[in-house]
Amino acid sequence: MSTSVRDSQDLMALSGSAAGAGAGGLRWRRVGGALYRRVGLPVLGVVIVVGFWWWATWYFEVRSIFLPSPPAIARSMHFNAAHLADQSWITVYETLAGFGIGGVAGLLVAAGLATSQTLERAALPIVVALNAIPKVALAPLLIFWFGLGHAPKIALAASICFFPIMIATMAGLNSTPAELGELARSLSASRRQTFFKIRVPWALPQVFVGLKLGITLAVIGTVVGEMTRPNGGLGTVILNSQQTVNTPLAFAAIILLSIISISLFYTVVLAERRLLPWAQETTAART
Amino acid sequence: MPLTPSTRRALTAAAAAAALAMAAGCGDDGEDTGGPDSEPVSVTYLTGFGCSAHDSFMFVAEEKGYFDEAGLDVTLEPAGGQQNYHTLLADEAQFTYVDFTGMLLDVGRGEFDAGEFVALNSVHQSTLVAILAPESSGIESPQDLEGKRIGAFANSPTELLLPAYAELTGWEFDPDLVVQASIQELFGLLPSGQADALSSFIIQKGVIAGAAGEPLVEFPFNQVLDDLLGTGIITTASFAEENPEAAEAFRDAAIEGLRYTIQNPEEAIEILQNCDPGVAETAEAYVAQIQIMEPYITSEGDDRVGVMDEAHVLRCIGVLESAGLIPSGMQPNAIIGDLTLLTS
Repeated sequence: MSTSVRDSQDLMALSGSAAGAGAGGLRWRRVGGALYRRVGLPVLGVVIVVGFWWWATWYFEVRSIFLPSPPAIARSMHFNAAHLADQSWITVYETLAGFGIGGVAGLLVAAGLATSQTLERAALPIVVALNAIPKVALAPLLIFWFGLGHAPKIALAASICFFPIMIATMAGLNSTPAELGELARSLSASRRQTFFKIRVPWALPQVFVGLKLGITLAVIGTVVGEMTRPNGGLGTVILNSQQTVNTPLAFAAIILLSIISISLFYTVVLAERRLLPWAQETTAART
Repeated sequence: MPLTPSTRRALTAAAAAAALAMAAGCGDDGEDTGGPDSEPVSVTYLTGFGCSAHDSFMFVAEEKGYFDEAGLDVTLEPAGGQQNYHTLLADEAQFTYVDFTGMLLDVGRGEFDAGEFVALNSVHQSTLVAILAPESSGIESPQDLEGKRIGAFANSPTELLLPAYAELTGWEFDPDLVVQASIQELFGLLPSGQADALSSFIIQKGVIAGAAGEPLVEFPFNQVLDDLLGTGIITTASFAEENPEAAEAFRDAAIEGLRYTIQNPEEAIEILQNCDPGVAETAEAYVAQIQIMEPYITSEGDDRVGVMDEAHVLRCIGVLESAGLIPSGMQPNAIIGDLTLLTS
């Protein structure tokens, strides 16, 4: 029996109508087990890693400029709490804006290329070539094209996440089984109906693969932009911390970036589960 | 497609001419001189090194209202690197902070034309470049640097001037022993054992000593290369020509900010938190940098702040020519202009 099925049954036990103290005790044991697996184990993993990290910096007398201890990072986080919070919001805003632009552009371009083989053959090599340009090299140019402020960083985030979203969407749109296409033709469905009622729903799981990849890349693009154009965001905090080799502050910003990245990733995962409940039920995952 | 700077300037001039004509019809001369009674002139300043002690005086000038008094609405943008020049040429900003020796090297390399930028004033009147080595390295004199690995920011004056320094102090320089690094990597070279000494700006010696975990021996370049120029503020030649009053007002307000900063370093670093609140955690290190700056903002025998000596510029050009770092024939007007605050 898979873990997720067992967890679901354990959680469903909460709303069950089991009678008697024995059945109630069994229910709480099952709930406790689910919480332990879903929350406790990950927390335990983090605690072990952080504990080992702390011990290693103490035992090997590692200097803070190389690897700060968890307490040093916590102190820096506490001292700079308001500043880090402000810069985190800047990074989140730029990431989401860049992801939104890159995502919409990726979806639209993929839809266009997937509906026309001629267009795909003509345009895809150009898109691939553009994607091959190192985005770090573009960063200074974006300032000239988009000016000072948030725009160049948003543009960089959008440019980095565009390609994986486009490729994943194209793969999804082009993976419609032939039988479904024949069924649509037999029902006299128009190209538009076939596209929106068969190809798009079939492509959605792949689209979300691209979106999950894209959101993490958007964070990376934002940080690169903030380090090139250091006028705000956690990337700027990391860069500025080097003025006085304030490594605990740099690590504090890095940890916040990780939290932001994880949160945004699981937001997309949650959206996928809400919008595509049938995707997990009809796939053979974790059997 | 974005407008080119020349097209933008032409359109701006046409719009300004139209505005002038309309204002004349209303009985007003319409000229915005940036004085206290007219509309503030909006300009942007790019910092040379992010939110560092170098640029702290600009934040002081803004906080103390020196720019407001001069009729300027100044936006201070953290920035840095070679792209600052290009941002000015793209009209996205009007002023920035540079190392003048580095600027002459850039002109010599053809990065931009002589006279394309003009210096307004100095901040440091002699070079800040120095070689810094841990006391435990055994390096006690410049001659001990022979055969040692020296870390330096790639292609900067701190690297390019090493051969000239070596020749003047009598040791053989080996370019293969230079450890090139980015600004972020530089301070880690000593504690990680990847370099025996660093060529950097002397105002960073406190930070470098802290990273190295021990006191440093220092070899300032200005002890033997006192003809090298220090740092200061520049603008584009076109902006200086079209807005001379605004450029002069900015220059003078900045110098006031510099004076106040040197006299009140703790307050200046508190103000620098407007640029980066993270400065607060290591404020002492920033204050120490300003204190190191103090002797460099004036020259020997002259306590005027912000001035530049045209003869000094010529001597610096001579040093760079003899070192083979720039082609011969460069003149001080490569960086000196009508608005440069000169000693005479």
